Amino acid sequence: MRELTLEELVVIMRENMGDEYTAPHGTELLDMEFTALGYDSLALLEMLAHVKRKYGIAVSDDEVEGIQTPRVFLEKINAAAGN
Amino acid sequence: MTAEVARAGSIARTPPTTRAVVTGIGILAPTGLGAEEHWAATLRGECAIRPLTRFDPSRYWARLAGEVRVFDPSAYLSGKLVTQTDRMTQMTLAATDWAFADSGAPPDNGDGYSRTVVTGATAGGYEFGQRELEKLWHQGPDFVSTYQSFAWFYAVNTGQISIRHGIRGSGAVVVSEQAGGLDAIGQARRQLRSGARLTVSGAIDSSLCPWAWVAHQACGTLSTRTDPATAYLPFDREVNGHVVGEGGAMLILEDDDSVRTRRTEAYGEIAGYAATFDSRDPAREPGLRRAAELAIDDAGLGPADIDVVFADAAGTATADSAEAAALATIFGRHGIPVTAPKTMTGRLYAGGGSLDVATALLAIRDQVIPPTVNVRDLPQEYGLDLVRDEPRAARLRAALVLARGRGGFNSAIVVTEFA
Repeated sequence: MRELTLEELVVIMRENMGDEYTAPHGTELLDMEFTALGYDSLALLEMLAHVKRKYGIAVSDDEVEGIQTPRVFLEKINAAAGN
Repeated sequence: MTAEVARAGSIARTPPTTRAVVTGIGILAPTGLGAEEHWAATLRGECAIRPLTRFDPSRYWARLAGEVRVFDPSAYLSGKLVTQTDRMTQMTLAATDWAFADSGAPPDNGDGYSRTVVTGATAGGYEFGQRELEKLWHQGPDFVSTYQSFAWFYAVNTGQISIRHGIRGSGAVVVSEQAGGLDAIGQARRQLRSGARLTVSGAIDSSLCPWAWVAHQACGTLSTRTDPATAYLPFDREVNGHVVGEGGAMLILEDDDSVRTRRTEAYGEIAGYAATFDSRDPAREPGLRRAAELAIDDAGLGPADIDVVFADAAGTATADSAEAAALATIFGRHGIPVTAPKTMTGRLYAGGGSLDVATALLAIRDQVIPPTVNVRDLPQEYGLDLVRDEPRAARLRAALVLARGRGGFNSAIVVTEFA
């Protein structure tokens, strides 16, 4: 399966944050902390559920605590997808 | 040892002489957005009960409601918050913002621990819950929003207010059906007496969705009429149950020291509060009279000091006659002006009591009693001096506000001028 891209993650993040989404779009976003961007653990769960619905890739809810940045988010998703 | 305990106690507690002063009001009701819009419409006697529009009510026999028709949550809240919250939370947050602005209380100054929140609620975020249930059944469990975890919850408004305003003191919700709007304010007064310097209190309810409507209809006290002018007629011989509405009021309460220090204007004081519970034995008198008497006594007043009553006005013959009897016993037949402005909004559940407290404070401010509308045929045997159709100018120093909740809750608050 192909990899989930940063651009696709940004779309998901934006849907979650609505008009409040102000994070940078480039690769500097990769290592920014979700908490600093305004995403709490529930928001991360919501985004994981979104990925599961849209791409059929499931990451266990238990892994949320370890996901601090978009880079890790993508790594977990893509590992679960078998990439 | 005893002395040690006593000293520790005296340090921890502000003396119970602390007064609970209302410095800010935020109203969001079928009668208007904001206290002044609501108050002006109420004095004009404009009934806001209309055919339900939030969903198609054709499959239900109850088809009227007191809707807040013009509220757009995105005008007041971020997209993120709108996604995460039920309508009743959105209305609560907007009204709380207005109440804070009205109070002039400084925003969170880092001393959030001296501020507390206590709200009332009867249904929680029902409409949000229905939406997520629909997703569960139609699309599957993966489609249910994670925000359902708190958006439905009775205490969610307290939590969201705390987060939004940096409040770190105690947070509470009171769930006592339609008495909750008074009980929350009574609890707020206790918090101020326990040392809080500012408390956000009140209630705003909204449950105008099909799932809630099934529950409303099942309660057996909804009006079957479809004409807004005759549907909710408390105390009328043609009484036919009540109409459900949405909305309520949020208040900012501060202790009297803070108010004097800030030299701010105040609407008045929550001077007395009491709650009772009905006996299971139907032969025993309901607890409403005792709640009213206890609240008047708690305010250090007697019946002769009360200038107006904001009635619960349940809208069933049994409940109305019990309330009329209680008032006649306390004040004498035709002994006090009584009003029920909720005839213009329908019953707002927990929000109703809080809105009545806010309206009573505005009445004291402007020295005028707002009217009851639509009631025509008032039984002489009730002995009620019901203020009808037109506002009545009066010298108002103290008002008694009553609310009853399904299941036996009775609550009473006395509001007075603050001087």
